[in-house]
Amino acid sequence: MAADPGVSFVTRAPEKQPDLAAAPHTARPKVWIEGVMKSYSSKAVDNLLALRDVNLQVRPGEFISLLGPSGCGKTTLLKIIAGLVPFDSGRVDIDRDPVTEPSSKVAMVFQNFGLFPWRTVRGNVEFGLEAAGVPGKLRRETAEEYINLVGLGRFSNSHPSQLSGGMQQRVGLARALAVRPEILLMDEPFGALDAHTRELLQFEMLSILQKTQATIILVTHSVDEALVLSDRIAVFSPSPGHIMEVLDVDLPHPRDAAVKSLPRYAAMRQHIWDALRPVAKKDDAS
Amino acid sequence: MKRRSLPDLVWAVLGIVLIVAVWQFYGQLTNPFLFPSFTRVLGQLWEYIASGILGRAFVETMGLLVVGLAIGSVVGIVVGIVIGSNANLSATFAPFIQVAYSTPRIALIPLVMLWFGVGFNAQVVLVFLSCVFEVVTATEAGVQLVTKQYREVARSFRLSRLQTFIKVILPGSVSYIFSGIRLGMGSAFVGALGAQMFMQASGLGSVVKHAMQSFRTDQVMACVITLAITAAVLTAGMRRAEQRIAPWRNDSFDD
Amino acid sequence: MPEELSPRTVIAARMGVILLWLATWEAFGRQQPELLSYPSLVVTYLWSMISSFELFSLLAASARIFLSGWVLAVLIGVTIGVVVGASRPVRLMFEPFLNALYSTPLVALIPLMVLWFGLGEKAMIISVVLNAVFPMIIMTIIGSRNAGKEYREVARSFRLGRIQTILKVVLPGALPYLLVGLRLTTSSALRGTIFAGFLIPDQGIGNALRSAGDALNASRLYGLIMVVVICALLVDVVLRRGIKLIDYTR
Repeated sequence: MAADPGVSFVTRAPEKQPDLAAAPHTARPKVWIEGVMKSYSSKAVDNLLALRDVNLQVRPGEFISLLGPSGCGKTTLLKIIAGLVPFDSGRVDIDRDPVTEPSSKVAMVFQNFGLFPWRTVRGNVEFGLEAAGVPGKLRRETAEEYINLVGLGRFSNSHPSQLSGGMQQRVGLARALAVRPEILLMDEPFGALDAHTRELLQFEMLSILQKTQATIILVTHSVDEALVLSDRIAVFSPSPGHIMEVLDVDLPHPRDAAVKSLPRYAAMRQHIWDALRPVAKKDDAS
Repeated sequence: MKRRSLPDLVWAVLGIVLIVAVWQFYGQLTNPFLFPSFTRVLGQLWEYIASGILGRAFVETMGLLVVGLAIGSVVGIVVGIVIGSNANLSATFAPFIQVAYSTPRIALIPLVMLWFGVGFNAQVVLVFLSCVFEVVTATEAGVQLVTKQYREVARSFRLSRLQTFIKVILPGSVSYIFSGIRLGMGSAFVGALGAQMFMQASGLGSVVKHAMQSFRTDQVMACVITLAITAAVLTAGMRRAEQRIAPWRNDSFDD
Repeated sequence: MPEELSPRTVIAARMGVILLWLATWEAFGRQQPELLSYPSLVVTYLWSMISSFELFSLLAASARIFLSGWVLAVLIGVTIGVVVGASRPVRLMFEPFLNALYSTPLVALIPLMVLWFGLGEKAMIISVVLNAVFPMIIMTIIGSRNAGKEYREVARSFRLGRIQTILKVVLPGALPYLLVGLRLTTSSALRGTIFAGFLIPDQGIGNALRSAGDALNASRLYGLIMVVVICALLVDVVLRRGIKLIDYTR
């Protein structure tokens, strides 16, 4: 155990030219992001740069968080990986295939759940399977399996409006997992929940996700959430969005609430806060 | 739905009793030809029913309303979906639909008469025009909202355009479409009465007009009571159907 | 998703639609002028109505009725709505009744107004009020009830009196609903003005429309309908502008 909170971390500045040989312990990256630029035009602003030269390699099976203040482009990056948002230049590959549209290897969990109020819990979970053309009986069984996995077995026939926010997001998770994605994208999945529910669901989600082999990319603005959940954290600076550093979270697994009392946790937390602080200050000043 | 507790119902009954009592009292004080008492109006209503006039007129008006509203709804839904799913069509035609929507369609009666005559078909055209833009506008808005809300979800699960339409847009827009039809129904009802008053005399519209021409306030009031009950039943029926078809949507204020 | 057109192209497309429509009308109308008339003839006719001040007096008569009816409907509607919405027993007693009248096609009451007030402006204005007042009442009831629920405790904690609460908390809080009511009231008032004009021979647009139809004067009829459409559009634009000014939720 790392006893000294003052030690330096295994951090790397984002590589300009990512080199496979430089990361010997990883297999081929699951997601390869290189030199991605993205700008938006709106009525108010012309050509607002949202992402500037973003480089990141996501390893297979890892849990990586994109962490940063709101408006730093982390969600944009996630949606680019999802194939939902086009980018201006650079490249984004999943298993060496360039992303041009939503990939069948990817599933997404949305901040506001994105559940269909007219479908039951089961209907919602079956949704992605229907789209993939899974036949009825198998679809139903698979849906039930994942509904049970997220602990909502009793609520299969309920409508989302009858569930609490935390339960609704578990449906969102089951819906995404049911298509057995290789990559799970989560856009602030706990953002719409109250603090208590958020904390409970974080750990629960962690134990659920341990049963899958999926590579997970989480977008969050909560330092604690990123630390508790991830293997690595990519820290963003805003306007334009850029990855300041990528750090390894070398906290022991499996994690529970006790992880937060480790000195190592406190040290990493402090380190991230320090990295984000000048950003926050600049934000206040403007 | 919450079951109405007993005191609520008691209050409602009390309200009706109060209104009827004041009406009756005032009617007996004043000239009965000018302001007939409640019992007098009830008597007239009974006379209408017994003579078969009301029944016949009611069927005629409902027939006109249902046919016009049905055609208006179908056309309105189709047009609304087409326009709602294409941003360019929507941008191009939105101002025209807005103009048609805000124009009192009743003003088109002389035009419809010039083109289609005064018969049932012409009246259907007027009722159709009275309600179709309400349905178009509501459907279009629903389709656009649902598309905006679920576009990314549908795309991330790789739904085709057709699948997105059938599985997401259509079920999502149902409640908006219903509000449009409910709104259109009110307008169609006015259109139907106008058609029956000013085009070929028929149905409740002509009964009211005839009552006016023979200076029978009690007859006019009997007709208005019939219309009020009909409208209340129709609206309640629409709301119930809406609840049944789209039970997840419980915001009652959308018109 | 298809490529989105630029605003300029959209405006061009709208112009195209209008031009196409006018051209088609002109082409077919010249072959059947007594039924279809045609745009150039209609415009000429409208111009003669404008230069002879006939149109002005028609519009003035209708505007007077519409505006008086509208103002009265809004004032009466908000007042009744606040009174009924303020107390639970009153609301429970009268809301079902008001709701029923709200959905009733109250154009059927215009004949009664004719019998009570004769064939004149008075009957027309009261008809417009009757047609337009109920949406305002219903929306005010719903709005003030919601605002009351939400802000009553705030108002009480600052020890506001009853009148103060209504003026400073309930009505502003109910504004979104009042604005919906305002829109519905406006369209009902327009409709009521035309409908009453059909039934009561006045100096306004409604009656003019009807007699143009009866006389089979196509050019006059189309011209008048265009005037109605433009007026409705104007009212709509003014209303939207006004709503934008006072709606704090946007």
